[in-house]
Amino acid sequence: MTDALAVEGLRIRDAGGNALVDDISFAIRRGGALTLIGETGSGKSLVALAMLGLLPSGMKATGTITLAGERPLDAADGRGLKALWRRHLMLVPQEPAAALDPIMRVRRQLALAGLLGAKIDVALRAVDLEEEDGGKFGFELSGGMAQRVLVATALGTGAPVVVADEPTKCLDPERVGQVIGLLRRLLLDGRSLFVITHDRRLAQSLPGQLAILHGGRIVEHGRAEDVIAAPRSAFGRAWMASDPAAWPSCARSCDRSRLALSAHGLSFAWPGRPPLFRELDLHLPRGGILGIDGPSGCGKTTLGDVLLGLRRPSAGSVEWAGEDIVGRPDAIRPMRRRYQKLHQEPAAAFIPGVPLRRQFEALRLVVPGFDALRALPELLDRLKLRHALVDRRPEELSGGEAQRMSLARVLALDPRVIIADEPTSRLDPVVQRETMALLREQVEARGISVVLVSHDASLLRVIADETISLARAPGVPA
Amino acid sequence: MRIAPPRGAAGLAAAIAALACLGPLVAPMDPLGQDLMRVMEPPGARHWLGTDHVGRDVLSRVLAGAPYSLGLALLSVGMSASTGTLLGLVAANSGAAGRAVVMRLADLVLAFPGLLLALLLSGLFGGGVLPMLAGLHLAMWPLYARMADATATSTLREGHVEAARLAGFPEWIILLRHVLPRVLRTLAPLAILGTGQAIMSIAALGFLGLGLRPPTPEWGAMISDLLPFLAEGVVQVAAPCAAIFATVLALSLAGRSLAGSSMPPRVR
Repeated sequence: MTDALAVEGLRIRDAGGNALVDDISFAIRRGGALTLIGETGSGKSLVALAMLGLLPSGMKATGTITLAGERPLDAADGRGLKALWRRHLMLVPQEPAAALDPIMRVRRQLALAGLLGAKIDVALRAVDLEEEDGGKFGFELSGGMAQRVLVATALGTGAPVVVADEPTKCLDPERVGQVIGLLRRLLLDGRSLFVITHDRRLAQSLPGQLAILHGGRIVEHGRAEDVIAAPRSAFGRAWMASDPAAWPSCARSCDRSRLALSAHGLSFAWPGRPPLFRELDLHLPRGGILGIDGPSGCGKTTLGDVLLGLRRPSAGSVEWAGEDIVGRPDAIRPMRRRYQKLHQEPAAAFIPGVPLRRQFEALRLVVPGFDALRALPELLDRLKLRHALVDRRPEELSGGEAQRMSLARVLALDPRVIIADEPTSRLDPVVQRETMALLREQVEARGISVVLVSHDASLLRVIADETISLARAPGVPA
Repeated sequence: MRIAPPRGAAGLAAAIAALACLGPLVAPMDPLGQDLMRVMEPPGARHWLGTDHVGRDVLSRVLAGAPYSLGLALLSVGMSASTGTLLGLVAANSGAAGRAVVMRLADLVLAFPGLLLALLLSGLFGGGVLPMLAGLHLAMWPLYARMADATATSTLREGHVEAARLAGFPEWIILLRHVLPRVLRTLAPLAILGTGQAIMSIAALGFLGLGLRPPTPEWGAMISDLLPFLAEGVVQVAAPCAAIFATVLALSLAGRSLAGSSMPPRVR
């Protein structure tokens, strides 16, 4: 049987001649799948971009790419590769909602992709979309629906090879399940799949081959079941061990009598909408970790904002160390600095384009006696960050470094409570594990309380002392 | 994506700025000195660009006019951009009521065609530099205020502003350190494009006799003065026109390339 896609000796260099991806070769047979996993920044997405002839200008690719029934193409031949789109190659991009035109109807977008008449309805039905969904505009679709439209496009065009770049990024478990179902449907349809991901569950549920990319090289490559069951490379073992289900659980004792944060009868509703949550009670003792989970759009982030005093609840009370803060800026002010947030986007807490050192130095305006020169080296050491990193700008850090830097910033403020809003959902599993371990270490060393918002139930099971589950809010599409 | 450094446009803009500073010094003759024996002389060895209807050297007048045309344009743009930035930040930071006041005020001004306000004020006060500047200022600030408001509003929603608020930074520091740099970055290309427009407006007011008073060598007024003599002296009319054209072109190109590079480069 011929291979649907063969990549031979693919190398990608940046403008300075540094190898970003080095000597990658693989082949996917018809109806087969290859899943490429690896840490953030290891060059996974570059491989997909090179295959599509979409490398950013300045980067150079060498090697050959062969699609079934075509002559081998040079990886540097961007135009030749682009000519293969649709007929041979189809991309399911990272952010599905951003890949559709918001002001064009779905049916028309499918038609532009080459689907005609009845084929559109067949493709829509194949991904469980209704006929009337075809008449919707791009902006009316939820993330999950947009993804289904993209898969419908891939189904309809008949391209034998489908490339999916992080198709489950930032999705809650229910939607991850849907995406896995969609990808399997493509396989059943006889397509070949090239999937790039750092999602453990996705990597484990796709059949075929599994390759691990580390530092620009494939360090391990084999049948998915074999690699998962017995990884040979050190990085592969770390990756498999990063599954929270495999983490050692630790029972901790915290002082239940002293509450850092509590809420009673908390409700929140956007004007004119049904409430996101209702009559919620929660208690966070000093040094405790409270987990909050639930599907996307259930109001987890909003709940965090209410607890931080950033939003006013529709009803109920929020107490910081026993003091009600709802609608009382005077009560918030003296404690403001002690209630902090870790953002989902790792670099979000820093001003883009401004060196981190300057941003840390500015903290002396709000933390009495904070001396960046003295405090910073110790803080960075504790979070295992290289000292030279503070002279960079936030956008020059990797996701894991940025998230640890954000944690350093929050710790510099001497917090009592940290509300961590999906702090690791954008990080790969190995970095996620490291970051979580550091967070837990700091919490234990300093008696900080944490509210950990996440849609990863297995993570919360090992990290949190107690977990509150929010239900999907009524009227939010899946 | 890499943006090519705007060498050409920057060079042209630098040449024009140098001209504005040095123009009067390098002018070969007195720009005001009349010589009624040599009116409308064609370009020659003595007068490179010829003489005007009262025998003044056109090259000297174009050179000497640069600081007036360009300087006044920069002044009016600087004033309107400052006012606009200030009011835009106020609008973005003062809730629905404050924004409504500032933006309705801006709408009111925007309802008038740009030049009409300047024309009205200049006409009312009998021409001259101050009414012209005031009029241009009044006509141009809403553009900057709207842009500043939009940029500030979106910046205020970003994570680093929330983080700064949570850390307890006072609001004015947040505006100064988190919001203002971003606002200035988006306004800079707008201001450069605006300078080109202001030169045109000053020239137009000068052409109508409402700007600088004669015999000040200002490009617009020069065109207006010489237009009746177009048949005898094409070069003399073309010279200030070319000066305006080159300046506006250079500033527009510089503004365009600045707009392209004002986005912070994204990694990956």
